[in-house]
Amino acid sequence: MAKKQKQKIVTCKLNKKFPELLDSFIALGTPIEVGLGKYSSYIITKNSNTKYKFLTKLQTKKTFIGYVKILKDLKRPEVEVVLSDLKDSIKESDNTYFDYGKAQNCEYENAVCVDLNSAYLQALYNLTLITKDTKDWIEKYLTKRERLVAVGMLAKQKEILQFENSKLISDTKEDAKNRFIFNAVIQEVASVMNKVAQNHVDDFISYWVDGIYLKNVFIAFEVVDQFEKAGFPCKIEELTDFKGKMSWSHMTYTYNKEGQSKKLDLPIRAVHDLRKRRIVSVINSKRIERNMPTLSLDDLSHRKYSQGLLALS
Amino acid sequence: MSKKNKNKSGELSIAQKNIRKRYRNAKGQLVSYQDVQNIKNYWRELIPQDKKPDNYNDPNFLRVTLKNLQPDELKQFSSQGSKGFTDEIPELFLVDSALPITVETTVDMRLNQAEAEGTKLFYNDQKVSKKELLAILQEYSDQVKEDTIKSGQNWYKTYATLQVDYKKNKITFDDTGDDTTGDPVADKKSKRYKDSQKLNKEQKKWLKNRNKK
Repeated sequence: MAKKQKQKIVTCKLNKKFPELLDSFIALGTPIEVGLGKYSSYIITKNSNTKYKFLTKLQTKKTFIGYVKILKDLKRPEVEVVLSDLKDSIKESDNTYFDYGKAQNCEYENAVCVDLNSAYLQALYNLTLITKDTKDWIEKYLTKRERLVAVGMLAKQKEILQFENSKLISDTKEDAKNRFIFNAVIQEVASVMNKVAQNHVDDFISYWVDGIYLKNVFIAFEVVDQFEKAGFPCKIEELTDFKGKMSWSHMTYTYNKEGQSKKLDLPIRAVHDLRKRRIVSVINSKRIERNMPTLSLDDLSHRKYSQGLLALS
Repeated sequence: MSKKNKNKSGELSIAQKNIRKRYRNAKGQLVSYQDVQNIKNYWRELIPQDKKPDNYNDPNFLRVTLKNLQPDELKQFSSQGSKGFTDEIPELFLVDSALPITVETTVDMRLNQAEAEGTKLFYNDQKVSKKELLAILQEYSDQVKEDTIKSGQNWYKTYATLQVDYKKNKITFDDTGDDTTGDPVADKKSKRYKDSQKLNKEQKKWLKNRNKK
């Protein structure tokens, strides 16, 4: 037998043609392993021991340095108890990214957005999980996108699929030991957003991750004060020509900010839950053919941002 | 060797040297680049790791294997290997690096390999030589560097996406934009833009012809 070849790694671009390319790999019928994530995926052809890494964008060295600094801080003995508490109490299904008041059309000549500065990074710091040095370094050297990726790397978790003779043989999920930390960060930011929304029911329009939209410009200063007391520095952005339009699946907001036109789509939960239930039934029908364990709706809610789900369905 | 085939110093020309390096079958006939690629792929992709012969990692493995194949056997293996190709793969190669040490595959390395394997090179829809493609990629990389510096950032490495079609033995650099993001809304916009550009090109051509009349 020949000596096992060293794995060859080929870096590729993850673009919209990826599902078609994946199909052509599966169609070969040779054994392959596929890993599907949000920003990156891979295909290993086992016969040639080649790993094709598909990336949306190559991350800068600085992004990895930022991520490593966060990991190093998480290993400090003083955060052990906090981490253990978070691990026991945080459920991914409790993550919220957005909310809107009433699902109805609206129109305001002037509105404001109060935007948290480096929300996820600040939440890591507020939870005492990273040091001030790390927070300052990341804020100083990383761009907005790089910051988000460095923190988001905590959540990386791939869905691993094995194919042989063009058939799906197994489907497992990679163990992501730090994912609960990212979930805790999401929930920390959402809890502050929800609190402000509840305190200003009459002026609240909606929030999306780290920005809250309000009808009344004057209330913004009070909201800023509330955020700052909760440990989140923020800024006020003035918006004009603010319109909200309701469609069957989304609330769409359009507005002008500093002369530029912007658009924000918030999904309507009930519609998306129904769609999820339908996807679950489609996936399970395929699994039953292969005698594989079926998915529950709860499993799917963990996978809502996974490209794997799209490829399977 | 005849007098005609030697240059003044009596050495072989590059073309003559290259033809000596080409693979031959059991009858001593030259094997086409396409058949070589197909048979290479047969062993690479279709034979499991534990079934590959002991001398598989030997650099002369392919040469020896082909030398032992009769023309009809060679066609059969080639046909099997041709079924083991996927659609074209968007591979990323390094063009420039500000860091002195890198282990990544550069465009020069990949295009040298392409030359040895008889791969056809394309820039968008136009067939180009290796030298031309390298110049195009360098210009593209310089533009990326210029844009990065102008936006107040530093560049560390620049990459080019080459569409590698192993089946057709073809490499394409398409700079009309593989700016796909995976975000369906943004991607749709980009496709619409590309389509409108294409239409505009056709309409300009029509206008040019009309003005000639």
